[in-house]
Amino acid sequence: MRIANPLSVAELVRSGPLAEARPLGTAGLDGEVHSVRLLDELAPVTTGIAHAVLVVTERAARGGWTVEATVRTAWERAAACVVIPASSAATSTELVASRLGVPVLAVDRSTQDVGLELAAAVARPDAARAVVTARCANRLAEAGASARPILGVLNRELPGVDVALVTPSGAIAAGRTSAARLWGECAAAAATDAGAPEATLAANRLVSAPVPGPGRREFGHLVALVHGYSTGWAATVRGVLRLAAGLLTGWASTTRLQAEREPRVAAVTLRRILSGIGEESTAPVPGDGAVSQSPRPEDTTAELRLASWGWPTTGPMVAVAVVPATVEPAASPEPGVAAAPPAPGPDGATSVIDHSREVNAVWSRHLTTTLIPYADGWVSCHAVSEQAGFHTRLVRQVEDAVHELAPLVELVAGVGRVETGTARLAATIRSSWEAARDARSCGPGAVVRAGTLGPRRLLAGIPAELVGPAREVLADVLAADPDRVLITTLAVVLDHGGSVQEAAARLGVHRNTVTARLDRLRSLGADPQSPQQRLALHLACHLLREQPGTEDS
Amino acid sequence: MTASPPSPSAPPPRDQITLDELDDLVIGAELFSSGGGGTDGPADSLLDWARQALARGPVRLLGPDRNPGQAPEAHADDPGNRAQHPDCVAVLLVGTPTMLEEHLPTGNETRAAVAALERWTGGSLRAIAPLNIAGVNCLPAVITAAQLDLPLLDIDGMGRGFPLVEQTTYALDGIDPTPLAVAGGNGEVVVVDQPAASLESMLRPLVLGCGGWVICACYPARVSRFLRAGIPGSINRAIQAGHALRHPGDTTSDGHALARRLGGRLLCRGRVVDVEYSPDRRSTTSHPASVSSLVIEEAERARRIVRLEAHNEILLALADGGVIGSVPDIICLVGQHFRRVIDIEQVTPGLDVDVILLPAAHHWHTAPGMALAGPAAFGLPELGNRPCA
Repeated sequence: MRIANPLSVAELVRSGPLAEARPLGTAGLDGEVHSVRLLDELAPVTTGIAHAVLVVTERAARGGWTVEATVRTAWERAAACVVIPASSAATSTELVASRLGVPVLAVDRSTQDVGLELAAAVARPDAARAVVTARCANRLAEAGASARPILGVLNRELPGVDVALVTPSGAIAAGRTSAARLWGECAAAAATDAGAPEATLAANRLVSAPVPGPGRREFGHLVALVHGYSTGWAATVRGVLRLAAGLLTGWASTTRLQAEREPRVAAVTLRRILSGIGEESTAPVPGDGAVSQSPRPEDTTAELRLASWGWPTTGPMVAVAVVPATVEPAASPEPGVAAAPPAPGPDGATSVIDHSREVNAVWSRHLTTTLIPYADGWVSCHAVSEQAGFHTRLVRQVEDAVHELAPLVELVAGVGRVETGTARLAATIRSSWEAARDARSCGPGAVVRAGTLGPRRLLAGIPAELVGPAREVLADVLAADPDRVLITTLAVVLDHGGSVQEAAARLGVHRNTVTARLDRLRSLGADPQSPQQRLALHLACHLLREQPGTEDS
Repeated sequence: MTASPPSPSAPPPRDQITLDELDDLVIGAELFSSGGGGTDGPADSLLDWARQALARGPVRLLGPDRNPGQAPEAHADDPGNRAQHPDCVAVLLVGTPTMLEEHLPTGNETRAAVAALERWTGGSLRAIAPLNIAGVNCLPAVITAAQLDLPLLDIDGMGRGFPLVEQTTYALDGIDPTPLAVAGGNGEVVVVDQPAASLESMLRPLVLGCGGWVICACYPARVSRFLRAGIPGSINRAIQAGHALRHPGDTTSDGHALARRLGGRLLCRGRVVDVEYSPDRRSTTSHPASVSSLVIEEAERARRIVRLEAHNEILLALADGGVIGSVPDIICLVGQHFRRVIDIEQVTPGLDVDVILLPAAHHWHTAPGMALAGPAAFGLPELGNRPCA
C-alpha cells in the first residue's frame, strides 16, 4: 500500500525514531520512506525494498561485511536507508555509505524496537508530523517574540530544513543564507516584485510564508529550503512557518513601537548601525546627554533592525531627512569633523525628540517607513523602485506629510542621492541631510532633492553664525524699523536687481512709496545702488529673512 | 582449474621434486592457502623435515597427463575403492604448524600413519597423494613419498586450503576419507574407522590429545581413482607460482601482470586501512575459525573500499559492499613491494597489497562442490559474484 505524503529519511533522523542514531554518511537524506524491512538473517533481499528502511538486526549483523553488503543492496535497489546496530559500525561502513550515498544509521538500542517504532511512524506520517508541529509550537512559545531566537528554533527543530527571514527587498535579515540565496534566485528568475510563483518555489524545494508588518507594510518572508522535500512535509513546514510569522509580526510591531516611543534608543541604534556599516557618524544624537541613561538597544542584527523600521537592507535605496524649517541643522556628519551643535531655541534638539511620536504618527499615514531621530531632525530610508515616477511620488508623499505636520512643527525635507546597499546607507543619509538644509532656503514645507538647487546651494551653505554680523551691518535700519517695512523693502529691491517698479509690484505698493523708503534707507546708511554695499546688504537681508520675525511679508 | 598461461620464464613441468624445487613449491603453495597458513616461522620444522627427506633423493611425480605408463592401473577400470585393496593414501598434517615447533616430530610419524592404514585396509601402497596444496600442507605428502620411496601423485584434493578433511574433490568423487590413521609425536598411532559425517568431531579432540598436531593418512583408494578425482597438476602449479613470485621481474609494479601470470585476476591494488578481529563470532559456523576482516582502500581506479572476510582463509571479497569474489575461488594477498604471499595474520594497517583471485577447480563450481565448499558451507549467504563498479 502506497502511503500518501510519506516521511523522508531526514524527518526520521532529525525528529523521528532515529533521532538518537549515529549517522554514518549524511548523503541521501532526501529519500522518501514507504516501508520498513527487518533483516533478521543473512539471506540477501532483492524485492520490495525500494524506498524502504532496511533494519539489520543484531542477529544478521555479523561483522562489517554484512552491513556493507546490505548498504550495497540498498544502493542497488533504491532503499531509503539502512539501520544497523552500533556494535556493527566500522570505519569502512562510513566510507562505503558515503561513497554510495546511502544513509546508514547506527543505533544503540535494540534494532527490533527501533524497527517497530519506525514502522509506526512510517505508516502514519501525518501523526509523526503533527508531533513536529506541536514541538515547534512549544519551542516558539518558549523563544518569545524576538526574531533571532525564533529563527533559531525553526532551524533547530525542523529536520533537514534551512530557514531564513528575508526582507521585501530580498536581503537576508536572519537565518541561513542557503534559503535566502535560493529565494533570491527564484525571485530574480521570476522578475516580479511579488516573488516567484508557488510552482517555481516547490521545484526548488522552497516553502515560504509572508510575514505581515505593522500597518500596511510587508515586513518580509519566512523562507525554508526543504532538503527532504515532499508535498506532505512541505505543508507541515509551511504550517510551522505561519506560526512563526505571527510571532515575527508581533516582534516587528513591538520594535517599531519602541523606535517611536523611545526615540533616543532608536537614535543610538541608528548611529551604531552606521558605525558598524563602516562610516562613523559624528552627527550629534538628539538629547545626547540622556543617552548614557537610555536603555541599551536590543542586541539585534542591523538587518533585522532596519527591516523592523521598514528600511531596505539591500539594493538601491534613498534617504529622506526631515528637519525643522527654521533651525539650521548641525554640520554635515563628515567623518572626523566635529559637528556644529544644534541651534538653541524652542525647536532645538530636545524638542525633536519630544515630537518624535507625533511626527511618526503623521508620517506613517503617508509613508511606510519609520522616522528615526538624526542630528536635530529625523531620517528614514526607502527602497527605490524601478517603476516610473517613483521619485515624484516619494517627494509628493513627503510634502503631504510635512504639510500635515505644519501645525505641530514647521519642517522642510531633503531627499538624498540613490545609493546601493547598506554599506552606502550613511552616504544617502548625508546627502538627504544636506538637501534638507538646502530646503530651508526655500521656506517651510519645502522638499528638495539632493543636487537640484543649483547656485542657491551657496546661499544655503552660509553658516548661521553670520546672522550676528548681519544684524550689525543693518543695526541702524533695524533700530529705526520695528515693523520690518524698510528691511523688507531693501531685500525685495535687491532681489529684483534694483528695479523699483518690479519691487513695488512684488510688495503691492506704489513705486513712489518704494522710492521714499529707499531714500529713508540711504539716510540710515544702507544704499542698494552702491556697488560697494550691494552684495553685503543683500547677504545680510538673506540671513535676517531666515530668522523668525524677519520673513518677507 | 584454469592452467597458468605459459610464461617465458616459467619452469617446464617437472617429473620429480628435488631440493631445488622445494623453495618454489613452498612459496607457491602459500598462494593457494587463500590468506591462511603462511610459512613464516611456524613451518620451519616441517620445512627442515622435508629437506632431510628430499636429501635422500628426488620424489617422482605421477599425473594423469604425464608418465601414464609409470602409474600402474592408472587408467584401469576401477568401480570402487572397496572392490580392491587400496594402493594409495592422501597424507596431510592435521593441527597447527605452530604446535609442531613446540612439539618436534621424530621423523617416523609418516611411516607410522601409513603403516597403520596399510595394516587396517590390507593394501600395499604404491603412491602417495597430497590432500591439499595450500601452504605447508603440501609438505607431509612430499615427506612421506620421500621417506617411503614412493611416487607422489601430481594432484591434490582441494586446489587450495579448506578447514575440513572431508572438503575435498576426493570426497566429491565418492572416496571415503575413512578409515584413516593418525600418528603423533609421542608415538601415538590411532586408526579411525567411522562415518565421515562425524569425522571432524572425532578428529579434533584426537589431535589435541596427541599434542596439537598429527600426521594423517586418509582416503585409502586406488591410484587410478585418485588420478580421476584429484585436481590435476597441483604440485607443478605450485612450483610455477612459486617461481613467478620469487622472480617477479616486471610484475613488481603491475599487479595485473602478476595476476595473469599466476592464472588469476587482480581484484584490487591498495593499502590496508583497517584490520578487524571478531573472536566472539568463532562459533557462528560449524567450522573452527578465527574470524577477521581486512579493509583495503583501493589505490587506483574508483578508489573503492574493499573488504576481505576471513575465517582462517579469505572467504569473501566485497568492493563497496558488492561481492567481487568468494569461496571456493582463491582470494590471496601479495605484497606489492616484495612479492610474497601475505598471511592474514600478518596484515597490519598501512600495508600495500595486491588482492588476487585465482579461480577454483571446476569441481568446486558444481552443485555438490558448492554445497561442500561454497559460501553456504561457511555460514555465508549465496550473495553471488557481481561485477563491481
